[in-house]
Order: sequence, then C-alpha cells, then structure tokens
Amino acid sequence: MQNYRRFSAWMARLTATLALLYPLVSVLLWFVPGGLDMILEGLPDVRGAVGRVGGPGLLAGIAVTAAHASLVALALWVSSHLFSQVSKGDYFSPHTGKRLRLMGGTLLAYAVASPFVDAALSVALTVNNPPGQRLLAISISSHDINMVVFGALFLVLGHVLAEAARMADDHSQIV
Amino acid sequence: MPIIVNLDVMLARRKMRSKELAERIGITEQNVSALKSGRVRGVRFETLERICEVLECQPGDILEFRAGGPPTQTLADL
Repeated sequence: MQNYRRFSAWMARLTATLALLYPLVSVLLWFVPGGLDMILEGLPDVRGAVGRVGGPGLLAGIAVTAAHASLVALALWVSSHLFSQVSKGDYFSPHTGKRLRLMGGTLLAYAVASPFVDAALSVALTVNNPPGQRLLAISISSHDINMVVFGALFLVLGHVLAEAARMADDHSQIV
Repeated sequence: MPIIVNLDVMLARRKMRSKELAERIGITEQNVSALKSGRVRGVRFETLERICEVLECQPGDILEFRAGGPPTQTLADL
C-alpha cells in the first residue's frame, strides 16, 4: 500500500504539471516552427489546403485549441487531486466519486467537442484562402468514440463510488 | 422516526457511567454518547444484546416509540 501511495504522490505532481503545460503547449504550437505540422497531423484532409495562416484565422485557431486543451487540463487537474488524495491515504471518501464524475464529464465533453473543434480548425486554417478553396472538414475518429466510452465509464464509476461512500458513511453511524 | 433512546435513564438507574458501559460492551465512549443522545442511524442487535446483558434490562427499556415526536436526529443532520 505504501508503494501505491508513493506512486500516487508522483502521479499527482506529474498530472498537475501536465495540466498546467497542456494548454500552454497547445497555444505555443501555433508559433513554433513545425508546430502547425503537428496540429495538422490530426487534420489530414486539411493539410494540403492550408495556405497562409494569420489574422482572424490564427486567433480563432488558437482560441479553439486552447479551449479544447483546457478540457484536458481540467481532467488532468482533477486526476492530480485524485492521486494526491490516494497519496495521503484517503482512499474512500465522497470526494473520490465527485472527482471521478467530474473527470468523466470533462472527458465526455472533450470527446463530444472534438468533431466540432476539428471542423472549426479546418475553417480557421483555410479562411485566408481564396473563395472556393476554403474548407469545412467534418469527421469523427475512433479516438473520439473511445474517449466517449472512457468518459461515460468514469462517470458511472464516479456515481458508484459516491453511492458507496454514502453507504459507508451511513454504516458508520450504526453502533 | 420518533424513536427515543432511554439509555441515559437506564444508566442512571443502574448507577453506571458511560465509560464503564462502553468498556463492557466493547464500543467507544463517543458511540455510547451518540447513542444516548439519539444521534445514530441505527443500533446493531449485537450491541443492543450486550447493552441489555450489562444493564440487565429489555430492549424496550432502552428504546421507545413516541408517535408524532420529532424525527430521529443523526450525526449527518447536525
């Protein structure tokens, strides 16, 4: 059990760092050389159609990726709290269920938003193209579907744990 | 549930302190205190059995139902 607590303490620090870095890196990708190529990896259909990226298109792209990344950051931040809780030996409290539900909800929101984010990015990246060469790409990947399943699973697990914690609290009041 | 716990009355009749009862029935003094003031959700038959054994009484001497009384208060309600 001591090993799990030590591992959780490390994971809490790692996920908290990732939560802070993730939105920052997603914004920085728009400015560093080769960053746009990394963004376009997720949008293979748009890759060939991207011309000059700048102005309102760039701002919209940054806003969309930052908003999407902030959902991942929130999920990472919540998981950091969960790990921190376990590292302190607090395995079974009402917070566990609530945090798992929040994490599930965030992952679900991320997955549901993904096709819309990709569509918005395709517009943002091609908005500076001449009329007729602008794109609106709509796609759903297996990654999004997996994320929906994981998000829903975390939601249900969170609900079950919250209910179990409530029952344990109830039980503790029986002498 | 207007269930009244008369454990304090029985303890007074037997001239026994909560601490001694707690020690003899094997629960904490805090739990005896919570039970005395009715701030618990329930009592195990096992605990009730031990209380009755130590205080030489019947469950009815400890627990009483009063219709129309205030709902039973628990620690969670406080």
